[in-house]
This record gives sequence, structure tokens and C-alpha cells, in this order.
Amino acid sequence: MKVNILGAGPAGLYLAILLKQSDRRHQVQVVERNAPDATFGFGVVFSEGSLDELERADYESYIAITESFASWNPLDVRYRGTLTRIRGNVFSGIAREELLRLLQDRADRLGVELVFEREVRSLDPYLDADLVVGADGANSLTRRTYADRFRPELGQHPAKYAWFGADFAFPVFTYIFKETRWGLFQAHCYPYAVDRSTMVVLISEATWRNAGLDEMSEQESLELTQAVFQDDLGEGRRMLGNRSLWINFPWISCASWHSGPVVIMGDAAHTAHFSIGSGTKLALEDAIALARALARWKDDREAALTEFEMERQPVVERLQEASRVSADYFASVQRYFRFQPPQFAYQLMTRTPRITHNNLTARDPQFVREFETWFAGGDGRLVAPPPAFTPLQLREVVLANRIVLTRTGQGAGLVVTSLVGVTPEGRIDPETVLVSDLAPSPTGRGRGGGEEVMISLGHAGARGAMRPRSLGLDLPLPEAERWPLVSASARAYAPWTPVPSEADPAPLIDQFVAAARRVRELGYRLLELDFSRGYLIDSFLLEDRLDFPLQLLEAVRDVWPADLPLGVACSSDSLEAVRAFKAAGVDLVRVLNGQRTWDARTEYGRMYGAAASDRVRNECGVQTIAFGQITTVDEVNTIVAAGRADLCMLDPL
Amino acid sequence: MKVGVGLPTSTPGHDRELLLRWARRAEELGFSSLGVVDRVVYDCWEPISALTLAAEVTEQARLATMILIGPLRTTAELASQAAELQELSAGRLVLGLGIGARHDDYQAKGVDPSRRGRALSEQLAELRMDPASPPLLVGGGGPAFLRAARFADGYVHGGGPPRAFAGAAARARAAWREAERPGSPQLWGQGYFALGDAQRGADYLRDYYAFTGGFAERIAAANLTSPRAVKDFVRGYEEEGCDELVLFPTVSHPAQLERLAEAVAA
Repeated sequence: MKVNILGAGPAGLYLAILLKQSDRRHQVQVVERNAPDATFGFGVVFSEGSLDELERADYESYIAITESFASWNPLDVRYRGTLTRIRGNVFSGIAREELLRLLQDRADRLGVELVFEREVRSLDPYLDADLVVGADGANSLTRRTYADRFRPELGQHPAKYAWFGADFAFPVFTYIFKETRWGLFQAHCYPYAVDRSTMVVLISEATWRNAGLDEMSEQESLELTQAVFQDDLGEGRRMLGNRSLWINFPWISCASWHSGPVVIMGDAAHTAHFSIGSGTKLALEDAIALARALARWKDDREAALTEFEMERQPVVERLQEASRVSADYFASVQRYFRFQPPQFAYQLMTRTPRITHNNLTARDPQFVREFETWFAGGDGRLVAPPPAFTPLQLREVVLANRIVLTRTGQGAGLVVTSLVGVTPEGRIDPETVLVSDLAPSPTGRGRGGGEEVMISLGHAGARGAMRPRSLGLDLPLPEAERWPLVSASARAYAPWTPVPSEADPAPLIDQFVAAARRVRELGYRLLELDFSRGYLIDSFLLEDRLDFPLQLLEAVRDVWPADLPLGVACSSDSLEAVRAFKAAGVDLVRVLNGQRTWDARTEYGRMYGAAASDRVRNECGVQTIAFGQITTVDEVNTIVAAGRADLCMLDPL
Repeated sequence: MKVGVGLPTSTPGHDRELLLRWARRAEELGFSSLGVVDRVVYDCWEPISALTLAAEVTEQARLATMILIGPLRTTAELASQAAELQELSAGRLVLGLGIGARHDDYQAKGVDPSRRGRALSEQLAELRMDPASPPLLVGGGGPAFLRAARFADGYVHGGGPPRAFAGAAARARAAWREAERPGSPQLWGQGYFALGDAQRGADYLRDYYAFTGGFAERIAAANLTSPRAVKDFVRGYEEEGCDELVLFPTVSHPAQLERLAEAVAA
């Protein structure tokens, strides 16, 4: 088989090695624009240890690479003058130059034809092969040439970053968060040789401009950045530059990676943000999968390339998804600057759903135990329950744990009801419970366990007079059975639902106040007002009419005892509104983003509600309940411990 | 988990005799349901007609569209067709609806595809409120999860490895929770098989899915072509909480059905 590989980065070289190693008769040529010793960037980091695949694929290069590794296990977080160390995170680093040299040597010895310093301007001269591999990086000519087949999606992350080096080895992988008068500077630092480290520095575009970096020379920007991190580097130590430019991270993904004899791999096909793993590791794994598929389907190139794509695309997509979450975390990390150092570090470690409380406990049981005692209040204790089972105080009410369910007697710290109608007209459907039908609070009458019930008062608005949920959602009752509907304005909720009339706010306030009084008389100690999901109050918020909801809230707060907590269910769409609710005396926000309009779209991924809760909690400084595919206690532990929510609604089994 | 089988209505060489024989035999072999697909611009049978034919020679098996492209029919037309088949089959119809994947089907029917999501939602609302409505399923991605929770009894997945089904099933359940529907959604899955004559099966899939570009190759490569592959697939779906898995033939031959029954039973 004749193979032309464009690009002599790790992806191209490693594929060449594997192809030659599986069959010496293959004619493999690698074409590279740069000289063999030209390198950009400093070290390459491999996370998560597991390089077993490299060992199986080509033992010789595996040994050569791993012998040159700098490896370490702990990870340091330097935040607000403190240092938190978390163990059990295996990372290895190697100089990019060294990695390429080792791969070049191995390829050369196997008889790969390496052509350096040849610019490829068109693919045409290379198409006379059985296989043409575009391993030509993020700016891939191959991908651009066949854009109609590969259908790439390109984007940019808004933050700026630059690669620097340091003239010493950081002891371990280190995250540094440094506040300056221009804004936050972050550095992700890892050693890759006895006297060298890589420092990837991230700043926001605003910080970049504030500091004047947009107008500085490379040398000036290096000096400024070094001054920012001098304390962390230590006296006399220097940062190093290497064509370091402040750029936006490019997002690249492609619907397809192959067409006829042409296939793309590595950065040419996909990128994953550096804050979560290495593009190099992905590229090497691509090479392994491609070489294996080609070996298995000797006579059927199409089958081999399809198999390669099928094997690798799902893996890459999952990592890309996690890497987006990670990139967004670092871009909005200042949201967490109120956190104490243990929680800040915990949040950092669990920034993507890939690491949960259990995973972290397996990595560093000591850290988690210390964290749990801190979370439970410190006070010198040596053990504490996991975060989900730590009590929560809301005004004078103490909840036994952080789990919210919709039924009593199932172990929750808090039970929240479905919408309880303030009036018969406010019902969603004939089965909606009315405040006038409520039974007295069951708490304190033999239940025990501190389980509290929160009554969620609301008015369905344009979503009223529907058929029961057993049939479906938003299905209007037959006309004869409907009651009159009101909403902020005379607009139907959905194309198939009836048009309401305009609501008169004044009597509604009285109705909510009367309902709140009644709830209190029945002995309930938690009350929530439902301002969510396009129901009556939300229909005002959807029109940016904050006055009425606020008046309502203030009126209810006035009659609701000052020592008891008041909650609101609402979306995270307007943080300004949430801040106003908080100022009006709201203690707890249940963040519900779905169904505000009939065609609103929710991405129902794992723990999908945690991000919205996080935003509300940490941008508005209010306690929150997260809702949205939270299915395990491990997930509750993680969300609560990371400060993304104070309580979680757990889906039933 | 129940296991059903697709009817050969779009595979090359489909004909009346084969379909009748297939439906009858499938029921004898214990398959719980008979599934059909829907395409306009392809050599295949209209799904309700095909199920009507199958209804005549079966007694027990459920008759499922997986899926039928709702917006291509007027709601009145679809409702009356469905009600009729429901009566003819003594209540065995399960109507799976989706927006489909191809614009040319819409062009062929003179229906504007840009409003198809909304059209399907409106159609589902109307069907659901009709007391004569058969059980409904919704297929698709993105908005389909809430659509299923809002209007239907469950969700029908479009196919793929068990892991892909698991991801969609979790979303369907999450939407069901968000909609505060009682209980849990019915979850249906599907796959393709060719037991013997894998080449013909692959050729059919490449042709049927040619409009997806490179994706057709992947679908062809995922065809279940050995009893082992069928067994692993069935087990995988069962582990992920699928309620009913329907396996569609890619080769029009009665022997396919016998081999599938053996593979599933073994």
C-alpha cells in the first residue's frame, strides 16, 4: 500500500510508524513544511496516565517516550494566596521537541520516507496513493480542500491564551489564579524536563485589552506576564517565549473524516480544549485506531476508514463536549472567587461531569475527607457525612439533608409539591391541588427525620384548563369543561391552546397573600412561589414586566413569618430578576428553565440543570435547588459540594 | 424487553406474498410487534397500508410505525387512517411519529419542511385529544424528547449501538420528569440485521441512506450480520432499559426471519 501523510506532527509520524511496523512493504511518505528540529510550544502533557494503548501499539516508541517523561501525581491549586494540593491525578510531560525527535528516529529506522521543508499548496500531487492522510493540524489544507465532504464546524472560544515556558520545573501540575488591576490571569503549568515547564496563560479579552497586550510586542507581553506571575515563579526565575501569540482557541469538529482515499486525523479533524487533555494524546489514539482498522480490512479501504471513524468519533465527541464545559469553566471562574479554597479546588476538579464525588474520593480520599469535614462546618471534627447528607439551615428551618423529592416518606430533606393552585382558575388541570384542599403539614407528627414540606403556590395562567398529566402536557380540556384563563397578555401558550384574557394584577396579589396565610395556618414552614415555566407570573417576566411579580413577592413576604424561608421557582434567564427577588426577601431559588414557551428547547443531558443553578447561585448569591437529570446520590454530592446548588431534586429510580 | 421484527416493505424485492408470509410467520415465532418505516421518495410501501395487510393475517402482534412522517399527511387523513387500522386490528396499532430526515419527501408531497416541527406538534396535540387515538410514540432528537413527553406514551429511538440508545433514553426520561408525567415513558429501539447475505444487506442500507453522505457507510457497517452480533445487541438494549426492540430486515427473504428468531432465542 502506498500512503502519503501530510504533516509530521505526532499524529502523522505515529501513524507512519504503526503502518510500517505492521507491514514493512507499505510505502509510507510523510511530508512536512518545517525543518525536523523546528518546534513550537514547549512541553506536551498527557493526563490520566493510561498510555497502555501506546505500549501495545508500538513498544519501542512507547519505551523511548515514557523514559523521557516527567511524571507527577499531585496537582496544585494556587488561589488567593493559598495552596491546595490534590493527589491521585497522574500526569506526564515531555518536551514536544523530544517527542518529535523520538518519533522521527523510530520512523526513520522503520524505513518511512520523511520529507521536511516541503510546503504543500495543493493535494493534487499526493493523490496518486492508496491512502492520503491529512495530519496537517488545526489549519489543515486537507480539511479545507474537502470541506464539502468533511463538513467542518469551526468556532472560537472567546478567551485569549498563549503558550509560555519557564526556566525551571514546577514541582507538580499547577493552576495559578492571579488577580491583577487589569483582570484575572490564569496559568496552567506543568513540568516536562528537569529544568523546564510549560505555562499556558489564559485571560479574558477584556483583560487582554486592559493590560494593553493587544498592542504589545512579543517581548513586552512576555515581560508583563512574567511580572504578573513572578511571586509564583520565585525570585530570579524567568518565563520563556516562543512565538507566543494571544489567540482564541479554535473549535474544530467534522461530520465526516474520510472521503475516497483521503482521511483526516488529529487536530485536522477535531480539537479539544487544552484545559482537559491533550490534543497529542487524541492524535496518537487516532493513529492507533486508523492503523488497526487498515490492518483488519486489508483489501477494503472504505470499510477500514468507516470503522476508524465509527470507533473514534464517539470518543472524540465526548471529550470535546467535556472540553467545552471545561473551557467555559475557566472563562467564568471568577464567579467562584467568593469560595473558600477547599471548595474552589473541589469545583475545579469536578468542572466537567466526568469527575464526581466518588471519582475524586478514589483519587484522593484524604482531600475528600478533609473537604467533607470543612463542608460540615469545620469545628475540629475528624469525620463528617458526605455533602448530600449535611444539614442545611434556611432561616430557622434546618433540613436534614440536601435531597429534594416530590413525595414524603422517602428520605428527602425537603419535599416540594407540584403547583398548588391559589384559586380554582389558577389550576393547571382538574387534578391540581388547591390551597383550600391542602391537608395540614405532616411534619413533626411521627414522621421524624426532619423532612420538611415546601408548598409551591402558583397560578397556571395560559397553561390552565388542561387535561390531566396522565394523558399529556398542555392538552386543553374540551371547551365545555374549561374555566376562564388569564395571562400577562392575551396570547396563547401554544398554537393549539386557547387564548387567555389579560390578567388584572391587583386581586391576584390578594389571592396569593390569602393562600400564603392559609399555608402557614396549616403548619407548613416552607413556601415557594412558582414564577416559572410560562405560568401566570412567568408570563409577566417573559414580557420583562418585573413590577407585578415583585409586588406580589413583597406582599407575600410581609405575611410570611420572618423566621421562615421563602422560595421562588424561576428560570436563570434573567439574573437581574433573581437579584431583585433576593432583595425582596427570597431565600431559596429552584432553578427551572424548561417550558417557558411551548417551543423552548432544553438539552436534557446528564445533570443538565446544574449549570443554570450554578449561575444563579454564584452570580446572585442566593441558595438554590438544582433540577434536571440528577439521578444518583453521587451526583448530588458533587453538585452540592462544588457549590453549584444547595439542594438537588433527585429523579426517582 | 420485548423483541419485534420489521416488515420487509422497503428492502429490494419486497412483495405482497413475502409480506403476508413474513407477518404470519413472525407472529408464530413469537415476535411481539411488526414494524414499518416511512419514505416517500423510495421504492417502498406506505406504512399504514402495509400494516393493514399484516393485520389481516395476524392476531396478537402489535403493529408499529417507526416512524411515520407525520407532517406529510393532513391530521384528518392520518387520524382516520389510524382509527380504521386500529379497528381492523382490534387495537394493535402503535403510531410512532417523527419529522423524518429527508427534505425530498416533503418536496414530493408539496409540504413546506421549514414548519415541520411545529406541524408535528400540532398534529400530535390533535391526535392525542381524539378519544379514538392509538398509543403514540415520538421519534427524533433535540425537540423530540419534550414532544414525546408532552403528547405521547413514549419515545422511539432511531437506531445505533446500545450506548447511543442509552443516551437518548436518559434524555427521554429526563423530559418526562420535567413534564411531570406520571410513571415512565415507553422506550422503543431499533436495529438492522442481515443473517447471511451481508453484502446485499449492506448494499440496501447504503442505498437507503445515501442521502446522509458518509453516514450511510456507518449504518451499513453497523448492520447485525451474525447471531452473536444480534445477541449482543439485544442484550445491550435490554440492559439499557429498552421496552421493545424492533429488528428490521435488510434482505427480502423469509429465511432471514427464521435465522433472526433462532439468534434471539439462543
